[in-house]
Amino acid sequence: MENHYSDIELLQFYKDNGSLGFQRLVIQFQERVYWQIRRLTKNHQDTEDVMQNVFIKVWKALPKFKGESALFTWIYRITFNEAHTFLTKRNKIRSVDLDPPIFENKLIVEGHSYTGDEMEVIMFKAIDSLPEKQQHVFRLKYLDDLKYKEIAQLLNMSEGGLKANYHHAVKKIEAFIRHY
Amino acid sequence: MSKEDNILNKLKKTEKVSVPNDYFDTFFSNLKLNENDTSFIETLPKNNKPEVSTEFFETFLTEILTKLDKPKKGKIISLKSILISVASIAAVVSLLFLMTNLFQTDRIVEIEYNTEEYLAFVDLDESDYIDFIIENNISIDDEIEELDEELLYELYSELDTYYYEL
Repeated sequence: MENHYSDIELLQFYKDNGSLGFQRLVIQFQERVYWQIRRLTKNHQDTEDVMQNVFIKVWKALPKFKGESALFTWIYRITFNEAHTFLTKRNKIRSVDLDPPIFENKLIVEGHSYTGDEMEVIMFKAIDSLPEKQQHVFRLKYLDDLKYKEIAQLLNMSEGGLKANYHHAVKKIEAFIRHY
Repeated sequence: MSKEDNILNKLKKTEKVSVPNDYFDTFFSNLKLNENDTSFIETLPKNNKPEVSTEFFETFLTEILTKLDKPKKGKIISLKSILISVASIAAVVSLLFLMTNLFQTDRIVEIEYNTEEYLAFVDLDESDYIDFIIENNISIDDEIEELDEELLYELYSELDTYYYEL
């Protein structure tokens, strides 16, 4: 990641100059936020709408941010809430082309056959069952294909800790899928 | 106790063994895992991510800043709707007032009075009125049907008093 700033640096930028600090925050996190939303909305158009709502909310809430979690974790929670609110309100009849599932069709897992859509649903349920930190690590590593170094910067964690979290997450998800 | 303290104090400890600085940070990554120990999850074939133009992320920031800079539009209040509401409420209140007044026309006691007599006692107070009745020997029996019981009682009491005083 180019020009990655730590949370402390970003917050200092914001404190010195609100607008400039916010701009750097948007540049740093926009792609991560985008893919999180798109995984739920399944199309670019809706993702764009939700993304705007997310960053407007971030702008309004930033003065109240207490630093009890990493900035990315905080922004992720806002993203999650906004995306789900949007999906609840959105018209179910969509004329937009939806993205294909994450997984290819006709998967054979532990002797069972699944379509790509089915496996995606099961995977998301499995991820939701994890503790929050493991959820973030797993999504960023498995779904977004980020390197441990990049994830460590986002979540303010050590790489060793990340690897341990990811390993535990994988084992839990395996068990979830087997028993589903 | 003090004996034990003395013993402990006398014991000389050697320096704690040192551990390399980043040992625990790199511990996990240095673990030699079984090569076959790869999760089936990591072998699941995935579709390619949808493509997003790089322009989108370049222009997104500008769009957001433009939205945040835009002043909020003032609300336009429709006078028409307010006038209609006020007029409706006024109409209902007037109607209710009218209806309650219409039903309050009872209890008008119609007493037929001789015009002269009426004119004669219209300015009288109560005691004068009683005196007038007695002096003129007016029978109030015909008129008593509509009169209040209390007033009747008072009239008769006055009459009685008058007769007792005679």
